[in-house]
Amino acid sequence: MKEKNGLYIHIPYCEHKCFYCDFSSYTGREDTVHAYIDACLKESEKYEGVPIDTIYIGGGTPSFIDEKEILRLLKGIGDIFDVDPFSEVSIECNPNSVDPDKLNCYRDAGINRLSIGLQTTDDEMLKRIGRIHSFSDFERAVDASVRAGFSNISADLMYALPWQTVLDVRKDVERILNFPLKHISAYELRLERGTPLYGQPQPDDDTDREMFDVILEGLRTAGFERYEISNFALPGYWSKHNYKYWELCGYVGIGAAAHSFMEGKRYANTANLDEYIKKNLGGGSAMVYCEDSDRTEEEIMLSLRTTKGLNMSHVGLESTNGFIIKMVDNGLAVTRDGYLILTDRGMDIHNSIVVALLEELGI
Amino acid sequence: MADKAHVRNFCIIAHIDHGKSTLADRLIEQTETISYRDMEDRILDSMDLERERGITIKSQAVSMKYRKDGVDYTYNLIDTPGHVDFNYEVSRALKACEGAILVVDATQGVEAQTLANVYLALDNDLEILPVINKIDLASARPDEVAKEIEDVIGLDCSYAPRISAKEGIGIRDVLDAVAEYLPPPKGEEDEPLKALIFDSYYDNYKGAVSYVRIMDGTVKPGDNILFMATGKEYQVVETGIFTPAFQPISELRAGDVGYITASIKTVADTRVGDTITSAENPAQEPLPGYKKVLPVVFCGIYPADGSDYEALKDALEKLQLNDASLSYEPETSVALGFGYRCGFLGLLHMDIIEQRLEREFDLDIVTTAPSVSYRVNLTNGESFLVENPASMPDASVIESMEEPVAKVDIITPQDYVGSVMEICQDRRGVFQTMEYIEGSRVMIHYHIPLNEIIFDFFDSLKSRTRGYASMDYEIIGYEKSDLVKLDMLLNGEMCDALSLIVHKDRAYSRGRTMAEKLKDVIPRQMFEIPIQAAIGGKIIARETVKALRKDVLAKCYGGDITRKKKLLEKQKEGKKRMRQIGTVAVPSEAFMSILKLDS
Repeated sequence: MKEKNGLYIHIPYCEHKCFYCDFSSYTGREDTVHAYIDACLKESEKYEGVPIDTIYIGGGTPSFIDEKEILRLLKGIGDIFDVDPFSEVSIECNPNSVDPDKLNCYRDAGINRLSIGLQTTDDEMLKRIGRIHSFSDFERAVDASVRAGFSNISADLMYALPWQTVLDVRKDVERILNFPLKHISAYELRLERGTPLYGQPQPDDDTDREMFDVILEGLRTAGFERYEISNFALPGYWSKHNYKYWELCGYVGIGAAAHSFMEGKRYANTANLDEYIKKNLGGGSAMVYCEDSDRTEEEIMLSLRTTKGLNMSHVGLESTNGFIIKMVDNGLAVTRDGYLILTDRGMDIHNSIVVALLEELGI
Repeated sequence: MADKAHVRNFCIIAHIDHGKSTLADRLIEQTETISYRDMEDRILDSMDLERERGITIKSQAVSMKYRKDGVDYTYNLIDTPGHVDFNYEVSRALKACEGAILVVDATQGVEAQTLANVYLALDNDLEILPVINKIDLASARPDEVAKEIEDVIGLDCSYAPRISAKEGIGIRDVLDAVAEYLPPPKGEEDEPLKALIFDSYYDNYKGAVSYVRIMDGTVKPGDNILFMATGKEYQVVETGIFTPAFQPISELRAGDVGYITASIKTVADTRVGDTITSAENPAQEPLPGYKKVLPVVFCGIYPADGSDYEALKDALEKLQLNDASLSYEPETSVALGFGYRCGFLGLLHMDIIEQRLEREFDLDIVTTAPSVSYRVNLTNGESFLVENPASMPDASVIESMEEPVAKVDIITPQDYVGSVMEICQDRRGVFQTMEYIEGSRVMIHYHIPLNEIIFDFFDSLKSRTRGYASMDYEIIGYEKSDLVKLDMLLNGEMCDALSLIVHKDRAYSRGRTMAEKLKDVIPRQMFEIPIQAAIGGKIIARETVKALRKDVLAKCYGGDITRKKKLLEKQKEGKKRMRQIGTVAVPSEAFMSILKLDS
């Protein structure tokens, strides 16, 4: 059976831009939301009948806009795509922008998974990185979500924040495990040039790993499985949508700055909100980037992020390869049933390993 | 040309920074050799590098006209370098002259290189005209300095012009004194041609240009000439003088300084020090040539990009044409590939050559740590010189080793004698004598192994004496010494480019320092890298570059993998710029910084 595709929808609106953010998002442009959803639906029409079994509404802050627009969007999507009735449908939420009404509306729209951006439990640190919620907002949001009938709740945690200590991270892990979460993403903060926090002191590599080890140990003790470099889940709760990225499954990206991967080609839309709306409503295309995917390179790069690992025969590698043996001997990887799987230590240096493997293959 | 009696061939000698090039500029200006409009500072220093660093590297020549008491004189000035590394260049220029202007700074007095240059001039039977410069400065003490010159050097200073080259004071006095005190050239125009090549230069249009001093005879375009050392014959295309640009003239005659071109494409045919004679009517004997100067400092020069090997060879060949003191021969290094082992007169000379390769020839080069040549005496009685530590034989077959030792003369204010002696003792120096010169200054003589001088001796001398000390050195021979080869191992593999020959007493500290520095400059890699320093198989120091802890991107947002791909591309590119030493990748810059490593 042919794998079904994923659908990503980008909602580029935020109440406030975080100090580390360099993704496509706008503040103070709420007047354009209605037209934007129209444009998204217009763009979707290009994919009429395409089978999908995951939907992920990301941002930006999707929970920031009027929930009626989300409802309208998902209704339209359901009419256009061939949506599997058992689809995983996720939405990203900010702890301070969900309330019982909004959550009920999401549930009625078919959303069955929430991804809540906590980042850290330290209110002072939240302020410093430009988040507008507090830890108690998160407590309320999870509580309301459970009451609204959501059982599949994920939270995002960030570490390596400026001025953060290993003890701070330990506190975050202890606190977050008190909630009925099924999934936790733990992202290392990477400060990009041009963002307000760029240049602020971050922990050195050894401290950074110490922080991550605290997370790893804490979550594993609580029964979470690390199934990807930054993602942890209780059994059965892997993010099906995100997994498509790492498995090189097809996915459609709708909205400004959204990326798609269909039939061996990668596409991207313009990140400019007005241009996106104008092009789509005018009957044109907002696509600004299209490239053939480099299958071998991408498979090595993406599959090694997961604990399923790389099917070596796909890329012409064998477990007898000297470099692979050396990695195994040094505890960076294991081989099992023709798959190369990175250990925790291996995942720590995923980039270097990918580069070295590409070199082994002469790519 | 003027009558020989009205020609003066002279050079200017001085300690560095005493104002030699400025005086040359003023002489050229005053004689209106170059119009004021075209005049620029340090007119004879044509290389960018010379102007930038305020030193004269190459000899240059210029012909000037000067009228004194109704008589027209031709002055041929040959500019010479003042630095200790370039004594060879100085002596080349001196051979073409009858006189020398000795410039002494009225604030500094006699310095180490003042003496060294005076001795060179006297060896060449030159008449010396002392000139006391910088009298405009508040701290000038011309009377004391004149006395110093009389006492230390033994030159009569009663007629020495007191000038300020910078301010243009007393320049005419110098020009007059040249005619009065410096002798005209000897030589017979009727004799067979004898022209001494004192420099040469490769011009892309004219071919090799020989800078000559005509000792006997005449030469003009159309003449067939013979290079006596190489035996090559050519027909003269052009003869001329330096203004300082090339200015063709119909003929060069005995006593003249000028140039000869003959469409010579093989640069090696115009060897500096060779004698040019007439092919039809050759001289019986060539002029006494120059002493072949042996290089004393060596290093490997490699193209950063292996495909530039031929270009590097070509550049070295061209540089050697007018810098015969540069030697080079091919060598290969496991770490650096194909390159050349080059020999230099000193560290400044090495530095200048490196920079000329990079600037004039646009080459990206990697150089190894400087070393000297050691004499190795084997147990089987064989004996030879080793210039590259990598080619040193196994310790078990070595009976003894010898290293070059230099006689070092340092002039310093009395207050710094203690510091200077400490520096010299630290570097295995052996004290010889010490004498007071003029009041509060002292001349200290030491014998110091050359390999201790080639590191940062000069820099520490300057910094420990707040710039007041001056030095000069001369190799006096080889002495037995307890030397060992220090090897560096990365991941258990020897890195030939990092091997050093050091004195046994220094080996441990040197090995430890090298290992520590390597640990700092080698980036963490996927696997742990042991760094070891070894003497003949015995490990004397060990450091470890820990394995890389973190190199991972947290997420690919919304399926956007383009950032991740860009990062990978960057990492792949970065890897290409690395030098592979066995299994260890070392960034080129890091490699350079280790090789440049001082004490």
